[in-house]
Amino acid sequence: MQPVSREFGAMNNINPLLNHHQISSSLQEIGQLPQMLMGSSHFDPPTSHDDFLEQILSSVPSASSFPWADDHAPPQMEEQPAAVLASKLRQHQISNGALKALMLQQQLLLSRGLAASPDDCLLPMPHGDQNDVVDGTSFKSANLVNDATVKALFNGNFTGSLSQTSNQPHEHFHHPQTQNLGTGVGGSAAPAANQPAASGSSGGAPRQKVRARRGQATDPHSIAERLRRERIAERMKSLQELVPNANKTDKASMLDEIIDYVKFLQLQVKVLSMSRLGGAAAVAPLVADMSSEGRSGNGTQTASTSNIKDGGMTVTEHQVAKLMEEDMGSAMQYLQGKGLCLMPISLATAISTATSHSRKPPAAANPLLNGEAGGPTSPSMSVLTVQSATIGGGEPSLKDAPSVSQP
Amino acid sequence: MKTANCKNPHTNPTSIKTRFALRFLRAINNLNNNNNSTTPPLNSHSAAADKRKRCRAIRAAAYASMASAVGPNKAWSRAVLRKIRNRMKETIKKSTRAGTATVRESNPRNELSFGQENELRELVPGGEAMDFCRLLNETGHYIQCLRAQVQVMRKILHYSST
Repeated sequence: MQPVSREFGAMNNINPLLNHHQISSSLQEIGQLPQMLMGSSHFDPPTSHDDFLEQILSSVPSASSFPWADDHAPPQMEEQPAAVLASKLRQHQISNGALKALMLQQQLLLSRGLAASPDDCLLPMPHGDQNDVVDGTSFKSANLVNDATVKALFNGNFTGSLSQTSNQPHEHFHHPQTQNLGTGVGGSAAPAANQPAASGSSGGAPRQKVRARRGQATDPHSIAERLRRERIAERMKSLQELVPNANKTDKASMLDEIIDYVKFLQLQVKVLSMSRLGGAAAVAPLVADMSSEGRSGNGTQTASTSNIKDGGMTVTEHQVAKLMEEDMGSAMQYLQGKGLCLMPISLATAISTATSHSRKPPAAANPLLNGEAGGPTSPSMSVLTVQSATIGGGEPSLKDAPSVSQP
Repeated sequence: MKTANCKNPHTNPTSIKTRFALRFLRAINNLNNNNNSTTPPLNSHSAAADKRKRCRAIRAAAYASMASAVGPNKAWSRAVLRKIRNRMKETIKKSTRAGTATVRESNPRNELSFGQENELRELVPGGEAMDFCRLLNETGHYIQCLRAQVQVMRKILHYSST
């Protein structure tokens, strides 16, 4: 029990080396799976634990035993717990689309293939006498890649559940195994996992989990690559919180959102700067207020602003009314220059009731981009605005018919 | 224009807002004092041109004051300040200095989807000369500062025109 659990713990340790989170999660699940299986029964740890698992796996899909199982000593398991465990494995297969079983199988078979050179053992699990920690150096040695074979290996797993393709993976496993035995390369499956990983990522969801191996650690490029991608994912996530409407479906749409939001903010700045025209006289007291940090400037500020406000309101409205008679465009421009816009009464009242603020209203309507509560105005003001609009001869941009009455 | 920054400006948006507001108001004040144009006569074309110039000046002042409020710690603020300085020194030359050394990670597989990355680089000042990871960082901070800038400007507008 001990070595097995340790091995699976080691297998969990190598999860960080994995390329894909999915793979790591699935491997963890796999790690838990045998533990679960083990927990249900007691047995003497065999000389090689892979035999035990082999028994499980071989008993489940079909009667055909693994051809290379003959190499090893017959397992010393009891039949009953094996059956129990096999049934559990079957359950898992059924529930998870045989991914875990396939992974187990793969690891088993690959390790078997690598049994010829114990140093190059890819996985700690199957060999009880091996070092638990994955030997990273073995991965480096695996530069010879039988891409096709390993791809076939993975592709064989990708086709359906275990029960369906029980024969196929075996055959596939045959070839890479023999070839691996021939080359004696240990982690050959590992870097090859890159390509199946790449191809698997384009495949469907159930295919992806079975592909990447821990051998990603070999290639410094891939490590840096992965780190970079993780960092980018982190940043995207933090950006997602900043940007509104951020449901990160995928990176491209997220980038689009970000770009649009930046453009929107820059546009806001532009519009706000366009509206500064009337603020000359009022800015000075604000500056004084700011620099003194709100000590005594408040009184002067409010006084000045209130004066300006009273004056500016009516002036603005008369101006707008006048302009609208001549030319709507210039009227809108004038309003825009003030940071204002025309809106129907219903909208104004809706906003004002929604915000329920009774602040001093900026003339006639919302400032153009004002989403705050300070915007609009008491209904009377909107009435005046719309009144002047009707005087002007009907405002095409108003959606509702302007009504003079107080809403 | 020195304000004591006890807190880290990048983590404290309120301090950024305060500093930005101060500088921006001062800039506008200077602008008003220099121009001394009182009422905008809307009919004449020159007035419109002046208005546009003033708008642009105000917008430039906004970005400049935001960049100076942020300080030289961020790449985009450095780029903005550099641009302004260049513009002041030689009125013609834009910030070509910033864009020469483009150190982009050559990774064809990754983020160059539909030129979004390039677009983002164009949007964020100083975005040409950094890798994508750093660009995302800068974009985040830039968005925060832009948002603060908009809020402050809106408040100023609200107080000054009511």
